Amino acid sequence: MKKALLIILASAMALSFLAGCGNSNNQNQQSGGSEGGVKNPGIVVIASDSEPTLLDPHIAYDPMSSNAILQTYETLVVYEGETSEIVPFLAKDWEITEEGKVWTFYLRDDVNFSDGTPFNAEAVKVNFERILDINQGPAWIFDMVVDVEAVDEFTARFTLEYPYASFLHGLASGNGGVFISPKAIHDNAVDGDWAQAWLRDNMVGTGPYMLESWVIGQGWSMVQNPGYWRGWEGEHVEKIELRVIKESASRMLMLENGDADFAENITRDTLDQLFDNPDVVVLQKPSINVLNICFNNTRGALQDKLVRQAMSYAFSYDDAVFGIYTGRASYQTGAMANGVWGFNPSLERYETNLEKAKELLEQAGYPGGGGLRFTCQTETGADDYGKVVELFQSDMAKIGITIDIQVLSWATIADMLQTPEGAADMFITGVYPDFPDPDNALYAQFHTSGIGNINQSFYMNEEVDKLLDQARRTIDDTEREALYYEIQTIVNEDAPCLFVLVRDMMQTYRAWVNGYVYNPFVTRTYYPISK
Amino acid sequence: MVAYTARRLMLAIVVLIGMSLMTFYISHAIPGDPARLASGAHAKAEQVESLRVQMGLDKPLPVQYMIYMKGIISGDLGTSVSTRRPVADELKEYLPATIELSVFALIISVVAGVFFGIVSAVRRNSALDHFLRVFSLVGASIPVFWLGLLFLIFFYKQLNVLPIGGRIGIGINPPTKATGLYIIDSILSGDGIALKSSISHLVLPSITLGYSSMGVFTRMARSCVLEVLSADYIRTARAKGLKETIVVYKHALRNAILPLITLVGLQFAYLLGGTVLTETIFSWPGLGSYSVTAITNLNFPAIMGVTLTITTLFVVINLITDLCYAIADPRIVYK
Repeated sequence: MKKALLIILASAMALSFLAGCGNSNNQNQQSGGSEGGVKNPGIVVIASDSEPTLLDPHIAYDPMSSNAILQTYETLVVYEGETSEIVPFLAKDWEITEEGKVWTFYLRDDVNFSDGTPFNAEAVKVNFERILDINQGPAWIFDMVVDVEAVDEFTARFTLEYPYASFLHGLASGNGGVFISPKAIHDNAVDGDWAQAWLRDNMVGTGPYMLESWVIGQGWSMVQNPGYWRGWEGEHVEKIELRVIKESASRMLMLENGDADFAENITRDTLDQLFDNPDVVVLQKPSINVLNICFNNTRGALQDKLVRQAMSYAFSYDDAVFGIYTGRASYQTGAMANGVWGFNPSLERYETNLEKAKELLEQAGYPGGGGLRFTCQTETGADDYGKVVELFQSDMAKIGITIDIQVLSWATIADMLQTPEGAADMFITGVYPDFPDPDNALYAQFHTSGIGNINQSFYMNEEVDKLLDQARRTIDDTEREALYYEIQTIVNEDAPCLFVLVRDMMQTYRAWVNGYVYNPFVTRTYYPISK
Repeated sequence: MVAYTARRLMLAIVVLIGMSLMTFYISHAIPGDPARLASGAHAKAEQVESLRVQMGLDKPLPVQYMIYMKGIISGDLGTSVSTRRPVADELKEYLPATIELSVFALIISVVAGVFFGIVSAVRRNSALDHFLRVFSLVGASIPVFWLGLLFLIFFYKQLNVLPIGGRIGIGINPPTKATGLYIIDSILSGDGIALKSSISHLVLPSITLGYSSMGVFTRMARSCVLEVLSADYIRTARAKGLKETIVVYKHALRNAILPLITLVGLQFAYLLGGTVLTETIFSWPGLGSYSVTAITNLNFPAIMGVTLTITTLFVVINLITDLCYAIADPRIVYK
């Protein structure tokens, strides 16, 4: 017994000794700490419910991967401040020739990758060859690119298959169009894989921060790139750290205690508790993320636009916007959010009108609902969607339509959506355009060629197809705008989906965070942020 | 004993093959297309097809299974559909976290549970006995997620003495990897800061998890010790004038320990496979949260990897438990 006690005491002493001593891996590091009331000065801590899937910018295509990628990798052009105006970045200028088929970019000559190699036209060429050759994730944004040429050291020329007006937006969005050091690609390639295996967990870009570590399941940390071309004058954080905190309540506690500077995806029902906290900022801004109930336009009575219109008129939009979303959303008019350039302001919104809905059903040959019965799918774990679908179910009952709700995993719904025959009658979904251009917001969703991927209402309208093709090839903005106005009018009239609402972006962060600029169209970067 | 162990290991291989076959076919029967999910919604049919071929999903199921099993022999558990990383590499990250949490939770539940059980048995029907029984019952009945949240609110929000989650503190690098168990690795690398931080991060999740299984040990220890305390040799020991602590801990507990060993084995296996809720509450990056994500993303290789790992652990723990009987009770001999 005495022996056991001695062993325990000795172990405890050894542990306390170790706890007090320095070490190689964590030398000069201090956890916690505060300066002038600011916790963890110099480090911006993000409490997030998830982490990147992978760090290869030419394959990853999800918000959490972008969140890491855009701290290290950069684009030729960017959105200015909070706007959708595109301004030079790695490219200092550009010109468009041959009616929009050739785009020439004049690059900055003072940019280096974090491995010390220069960023130049050859790097642009190699990176776009990589994107198009791997052909995964965000590659579809650039599938009209047929050639990239290094005209001279700092001039890169893109030749497109057809004139594509949204090309600049594609480059500014940060989805795929960012640059990895060609040396890193070359040095780490195995069997011609473009270094995919290595770049899954490693990053070498031109951006302000460099990956320090990524412990899967726990998060990543990044430190300043000392040779960053914009320099480090002024106030910047030295380190960014993303912590995976699964529970919304825990992320909120971290924010309240000051251990997190940004807390992502706090659930709406707990947000109210933060409004009265002077140490926390709850930012509510309009976004371009819309919520739709997509009808299967090829299925039975849903082929009739009068039925679809009737259902659109029967829905209680007020209850969805102010009840379920407690005012943290706005009405949606037509197929895209009004924050997207080219939005048609003269569109008429479907407002709740039960009498009109009943009349339309009667005209369609279904008086009093005519025994119509549909299945509406919603995904597991998406509580908001579930509530909206329940509201939809009770509203449709008012016009005699029965809705059966089916809750399935997104994986199962996505599989069913590959064909109109396999898909259910309808399902609820959020639509997040990659960039604020109507081509991105409308083409894949409503062009017949989008069936099997984003056209999940299986909407087919030859006129809309023709106009969408024409609009994406039109470079003149005035002409494009007119075409998109027309497209939106037709789509709104056809009601292929029930356009539920536009969700506001909610961001919570500590009041001691300075320099944060919200842009609804692109992932947040931490370079301008200080504490 | 060696022959017995060898026989059990042979049987374990049969169990593992059976389990792999079942999991493989069940997971592939779930409706959904992993290649479509991994390609993203905008991917064209040819992109999805190309990824499907790359993942080997275009081949018939029996062929896919054979390829998978062939890979296992060389230690290749396939590639994760969502992260494109070898599943074996991911398991090397997640498994040690679960083992570390489960071992600490088990230590807490066994030490506290057995001690409370003995005290209850010795002080049978006293106020202390009643209190300990209620205390244990509460642990077994209280939902883990609720207890975890209470702990977080009290120890993190109110007192701010323990961290909210994860395995290590903000701004601290994990210790140099040797075993993946942060406490062991911190000691091995002499990393005091990481050690201190790892221990503080382990306290709440292991108490939460340990408390939930402590009640079972208390109840079992109490009934076993009570049974033994009424035996003749205990009366003899007391009659010889031995100290009560020696009677209880040396004579009674030693004889009551066999059922407890069985329970330790079962509970350890249960803790390894049942940490999902605790891991979620405390953002503990272990097998539980990994498997939930894998199922959501139809990540077949990851689902298979987790299932086979947990099955292997179950088999090994059961074998060790059986071997421990012989050590605890010399009357048991394996042939």
